[in-house]
Amino acid sequence: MLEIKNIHATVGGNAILKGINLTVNGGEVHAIMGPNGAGKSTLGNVLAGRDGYDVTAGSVTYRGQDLLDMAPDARARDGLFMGFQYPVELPGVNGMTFLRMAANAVRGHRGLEPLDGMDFLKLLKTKMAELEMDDALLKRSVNVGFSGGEKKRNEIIQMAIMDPHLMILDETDSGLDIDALKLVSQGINLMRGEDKAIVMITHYQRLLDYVKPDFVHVLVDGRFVDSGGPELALKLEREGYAAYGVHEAA
Amino acid sequence: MNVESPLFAEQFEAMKPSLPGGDASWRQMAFDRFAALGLPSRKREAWRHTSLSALKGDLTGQPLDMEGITSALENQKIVGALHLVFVGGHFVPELSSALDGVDGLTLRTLGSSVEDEDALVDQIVLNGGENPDEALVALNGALVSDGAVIKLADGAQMKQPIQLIYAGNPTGLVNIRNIISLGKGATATLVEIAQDATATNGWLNIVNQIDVEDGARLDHLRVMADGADANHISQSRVSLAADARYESFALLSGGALARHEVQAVFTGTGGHCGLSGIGLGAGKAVRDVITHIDHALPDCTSAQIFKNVMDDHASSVFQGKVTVQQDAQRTDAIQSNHNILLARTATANSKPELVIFADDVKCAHGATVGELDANQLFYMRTRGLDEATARQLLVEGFIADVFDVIEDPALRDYVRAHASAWLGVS
Amino acid sequence: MSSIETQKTIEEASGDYKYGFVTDIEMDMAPKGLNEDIVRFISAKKNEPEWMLEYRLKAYRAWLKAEDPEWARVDYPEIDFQDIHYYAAPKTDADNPKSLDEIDPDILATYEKLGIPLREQEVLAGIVGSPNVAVDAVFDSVSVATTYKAKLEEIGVIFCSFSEAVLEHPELIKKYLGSVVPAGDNFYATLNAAVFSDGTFVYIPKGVRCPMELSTYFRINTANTGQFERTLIIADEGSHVSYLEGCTAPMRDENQLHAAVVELIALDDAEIKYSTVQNWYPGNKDGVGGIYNFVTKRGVCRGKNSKISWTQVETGSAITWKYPSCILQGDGSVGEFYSVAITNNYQQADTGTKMIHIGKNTTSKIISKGISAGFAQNTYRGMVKIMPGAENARNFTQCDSLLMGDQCGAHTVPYIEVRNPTAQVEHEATTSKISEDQMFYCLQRGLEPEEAISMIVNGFCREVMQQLPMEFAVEAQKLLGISLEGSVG
Repeated sequence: MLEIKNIHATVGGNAILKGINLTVNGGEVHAIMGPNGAGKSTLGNVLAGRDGYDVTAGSVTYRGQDLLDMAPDARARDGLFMGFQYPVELPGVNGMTFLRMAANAVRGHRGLEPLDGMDFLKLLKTKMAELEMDDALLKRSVNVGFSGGEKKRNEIIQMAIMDPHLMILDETDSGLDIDALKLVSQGINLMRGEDKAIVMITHYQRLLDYVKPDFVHVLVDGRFVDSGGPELALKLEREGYAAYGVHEAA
Repeated sequence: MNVESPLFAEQFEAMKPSLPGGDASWRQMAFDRFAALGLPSRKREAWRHTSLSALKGDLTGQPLDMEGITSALENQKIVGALHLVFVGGHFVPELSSALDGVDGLTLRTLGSSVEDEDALVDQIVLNGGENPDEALVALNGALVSDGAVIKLADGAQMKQPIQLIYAGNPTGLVNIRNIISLGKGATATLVEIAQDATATNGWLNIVNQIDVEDGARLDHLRVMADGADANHISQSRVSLAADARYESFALLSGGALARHEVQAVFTGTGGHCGLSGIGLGAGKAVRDVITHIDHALPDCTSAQIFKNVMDDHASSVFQGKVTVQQDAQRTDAIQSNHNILLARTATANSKPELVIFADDVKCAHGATVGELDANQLFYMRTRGLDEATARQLLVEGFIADVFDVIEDPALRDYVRAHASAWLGVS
Repeated sequence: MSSIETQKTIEEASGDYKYGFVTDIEMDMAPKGLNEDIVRFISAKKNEPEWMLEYRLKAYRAWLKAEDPEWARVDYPEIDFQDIHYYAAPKTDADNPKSLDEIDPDILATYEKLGIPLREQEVLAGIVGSPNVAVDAVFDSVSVATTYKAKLEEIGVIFCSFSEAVLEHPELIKKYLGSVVPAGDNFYATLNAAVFSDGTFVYIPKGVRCPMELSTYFRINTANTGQFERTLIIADEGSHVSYLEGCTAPMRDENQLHAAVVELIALDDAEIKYSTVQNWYPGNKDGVGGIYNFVTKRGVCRGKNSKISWTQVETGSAITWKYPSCILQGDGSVGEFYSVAITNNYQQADTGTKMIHIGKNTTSKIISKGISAGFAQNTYRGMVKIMPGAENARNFTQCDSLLMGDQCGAHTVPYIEVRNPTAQVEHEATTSKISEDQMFYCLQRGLEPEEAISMIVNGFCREVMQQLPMEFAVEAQKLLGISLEGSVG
């Protein structure tokens, strides 16, 4: 589904990614872990196509296409979903309207009829039941005045409705209390499937207790320095990144 | 001796026989006042961004396409409202609702009653004063062709909105004067709309004189969606008695020039004045909002919010002034103006002004200018929206809260539809 | 609050302008009035070269055609420009004092009384206890002493009177005089260009960080004189200077005119910090007398990443009319304006700034605190203009007004003009009074009303006061309290 070959990227002229290789197949869940400043979020932003993140070398193939050549919205319509660490507020933009427009953008790309208000509400109701969430958030402007936990829940709702192929979740667990973490994890687990892949970017192993990864990669200073199974995350939790020459305050 | 005759003197002589009142002395008085003041130059601060040089041509209009006007009207009429349709500045009864039959409401046209009523004449002539900024009010008095005279009895609660429709956008200058008074405790909603798709470059010069008596409330909506080359200037003079309330909303979305001016003064305590509006401009459009709220007495409140979105070479102006006189203790006045520029060549001008002579007051203003937020645009694109849609949604979001001041949902939708029409074609 | 006891305390504490004395010395004066001969007289007094005289005469002719501006919210009777002495200098044996020994001891005593150290040796010996400040002292129309010149010359810093600079550094004067405030800029700047008598000149060479604060202390002493000083500061590439300005005048029943021009030029990566504590005589509590302070101050950030920062504490003058401004021409340049303006009794102040963004990535910040008491009128008038080429320009403006009493006024007139969509401009303003809760809380904690007000006002102004160099901060803080004496009612 996703094949990253030796990408290098700069932000504001500073080299952040220094040769990343990663292959993600359908059905897999990957976790990318690493200390602060390792380039985890940069990788997410490069994949989602944010301006100002310049790929200076390497290639990314997504579902057979050159991902780096696609506009951010084209990537989204083709099923690449980015869950943001800090979802932005959209004052005056109604949550329900926004969500329906997003859903229909994806449906249009897939050759499906756009959902009218009624059908959309039906779909929403089904999804909300699965997620065990209510749609109160959607009656407000997108993310405006939301708590950290509400913003993350809103990301999960959007993900469920847009039904993507590849999900890149940037620090989705940060700022969540234990109940919210469980709820969000449940939402992520619901998305797992044969034709779907998830890449979780996280600093701590906490989320991985609830969403079991197949592969764990350690990102330090713009490169993967280690890869392994779930046991690697547990080891990192115990020992930190010292083995990779990184010393973090507890 | 060869004295240069004042601006428009010949045109005034030529036009007045066809105007109500003909060559009555009050018209001459109004014209003399205009002649003494002259058109305000751009050196006047209130006219700094509005050029009147194009007004110096022919003031008389060309014949109108009545058929086209009549068919366009159907979309403009608010269902259930009382409609007064003015075509080329003259009331057309066949296109309008019946003027009588509503309890507590006296509704007439200025054209039909001005000759018989000295009180009306006084209102037309006495308004304006010696201030050069008031020259167009004087010119309006000299050349006024018609208008609505709306009077609500004490306690009358008008459920139906009264809608004034200015149809037929002529090539000359149309002067309309509306005189509105709400008796004690009365409530009413007034909607004015000027909408025309034709590309004529005429001038609409509207003066509203509004009296809101003790405890009365007027909701006033203006839709300025004139044709692309049109010029629309409106000047509302509002006086608010004790505990009176005036809520005004204006959409400036059409015309080469849309200028919305409100001057409100509190003549009693405990009143509230809310002024709000949205300016949308593309091409070389000018959207000019001038407000002055005079807190002359204590315990009154005012709130102003104006937002502008300018594209292409368009420019917006907000000159909002709040004066708090020495006696006006416990005044609470807020004023905000926010602007988005969509193009490199667009301009925003903002001058929120506070003039305060009392100490126990809460006054604040805020103004911002910026462009659409890149982070917000990116976020929306990661949710699959193309750039044009994302920009449109953000602009809609930016102006959304201004509509909230319109309490009636049907009217809110009516006004919002006009804004959406602009956004759709921008 | 208005107990008899409080009133009495206030009356005892209020009133005296402590700088209101007159120094009695022999003066060399031009006759009253203004004409070309007076302009020639001033120029001749200073042995000026022909080009300088020409500059003055050209300005004088332009002034004859100029009009006194009327747009400010200040009200004063028409000024009789023929009833003013345009030149007044202490008589000395030579034309200019060569050393401190030649200065009239009364003048030295005057500056000592004002707390301004002119005797370097004393400063160096730490007798006065004054810190590292070099001073140019301007007495009526002329500069009477400039301290630390020699020490500054060692590192290439030129710090001298303007008259001296005209003679010693004509190439710099010719190049920069009028380059920021043109001779015909406005009525009072034009008048200044014709009749300016003296002032301060500063040049900081490339890469030099001026090791001490430079300061000019202005004193109007003689009756019926106008003071028209001219200040020109040039910070060459990569240099840095902090400059302070203070001013006082005797108490007189007539109004005296002070119309100065200040020009600042910052080249690439240079920084100029200009601080003013303006304490001209404000007139008495009935509004009689006081200085008309009509000043044009403007700086240009000509070079990339240069910075000009204005800080002003305006407590004096009957009328203040000044707008220290920044033209942000160089890419990445920064302009700042921090202002406290206090008006009491019948004082009027119309002050603010202009930030003109021309270069890319230019930023400006405006913090204005206006306090109005008694019958005073206090106006903030400011302009933020973003030109089409000013990509990513940023401005933040905060204007707060505090009203004390119900006979005074506080007005805010911001002009915002934006012609580039990548700009972000934010303006906020509030108007309030000292709340009864705040006062009660302070009184309940044992503070005197005057102390409480002084404390609350200082808190209100904190953001600006923090910008002042240490040398001025303490004095300025006291001034705030003194200026508001008698305002509690």
